[in-house]
Amino acid sequence: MENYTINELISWRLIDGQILILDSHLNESAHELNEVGSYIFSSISEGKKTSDIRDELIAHYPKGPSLEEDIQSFLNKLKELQLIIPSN
Amino acid sequence: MSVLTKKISEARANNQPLFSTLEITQSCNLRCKHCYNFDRRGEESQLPQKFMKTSFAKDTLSQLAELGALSLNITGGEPLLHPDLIEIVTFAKKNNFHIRVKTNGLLLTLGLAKSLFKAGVREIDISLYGTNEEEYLDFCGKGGFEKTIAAIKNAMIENLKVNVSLILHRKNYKKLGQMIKICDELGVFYNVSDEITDRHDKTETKSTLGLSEQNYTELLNGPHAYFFSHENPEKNLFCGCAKTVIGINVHGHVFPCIGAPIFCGDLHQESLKKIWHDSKEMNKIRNLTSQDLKDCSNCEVIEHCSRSSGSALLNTGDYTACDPQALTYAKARKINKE
Ligand code: SF4
Ligand code: SF4
Repeated sequence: MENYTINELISWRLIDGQILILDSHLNESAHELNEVGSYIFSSISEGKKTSDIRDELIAHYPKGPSLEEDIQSFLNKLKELQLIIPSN
Repeated sequence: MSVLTKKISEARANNQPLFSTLEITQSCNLRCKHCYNFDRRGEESQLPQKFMKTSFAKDTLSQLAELGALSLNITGGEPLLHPDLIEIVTFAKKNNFHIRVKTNGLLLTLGLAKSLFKAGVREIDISLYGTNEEEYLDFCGKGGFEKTIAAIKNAMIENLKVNVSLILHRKNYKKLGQMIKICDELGVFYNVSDEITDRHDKTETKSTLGLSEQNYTELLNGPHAYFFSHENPEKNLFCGCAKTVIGINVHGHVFPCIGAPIFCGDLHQESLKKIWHDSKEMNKIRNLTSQDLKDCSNCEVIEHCSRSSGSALLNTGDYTACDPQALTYAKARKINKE
């Protein structure tokens, strides 16, 4: 799985378990992540590998059929918005 | 509702200081006539503390991040004078702040603009005081126009998001068109600042430099009237002070807003969290209701008023009073509309 880092151009804060992202340079927008999204984003900011984040989530949540797909599509969305950058 | 609007209204309801200002020095390389910031009674060398200690600034930034501050406005005095500015910005970026620096621009070389962006500054607010060196000399105590223009260009080259604050007062308001032309030619965003307050040392500025009703009427009838024709049909007179906004000065004193210097606590004595949540003054301000603004409840021009409580405080000594400058502007707007 591809690993990521947070794009240096954005700013963010964890507020009551949810991350608020401010993007003044790329798309002039703000984004709010839900609890799981915030967990993934925080983990990326801590330098965790994507496969480790996936394993942690699978261990934490009963593995529904789409969990892995959901993680990947969430990462794709962040990547498309350039909020995260591949770091391999 | 946009994500940001939603988050701001949640922050307001939960008293979360999304917007913070850190004054890292009161020293400045200019001497603007209208400046409220430094004490005119003494020399700058007599300031009790010239620069915020870097270790103190870092500790304060950690506490601000913990409280939920996202936007960080680094101000002065002139913040580019701080010898450890890059170190402070780097630390703030590590703590994920959205960092903006407010400056007069005189020291903003291309190299510094590059370093600031690299360290994490994303926005820069540069004040423009006039349209040539003579006007700077007269108003700011020394030349600086060309350097300011160079600073704007340098910041743009280095990808900083630039806003130019056009500082308007009684002596230069007729130059607004020229100032706007300068910005348009540079292709830079700008806003107009027409708030002149009395100084912190209580020497008066607004009566000599603040725009008069006649000046304001001229502006309302001029080609840039959209900057001045503020209307307030909802009669809303409250800002984010002590709710979404917090200010900390060079001495570590915590205020509801850097523009409303009501002492709420000293970071050398107490934690930011304790001051923010428990300070009597902070809670008093966040619990004010429209009934507490006694002058305003029967005001005939309230629907044209753009009152700022900080200006009211600086101009009258009372955070809840009528701000005479807001009254002047509101009257001009009302008459102009009729
Ligand atoms: S540049 Fe700003 S801080 Fe310096 S004297 Fe002028 S208004 Fe005051
Ligand atoms: S003009 Fe004065 S009294 Fe009237 S609303 Fe504004 S601040 Fe209040």
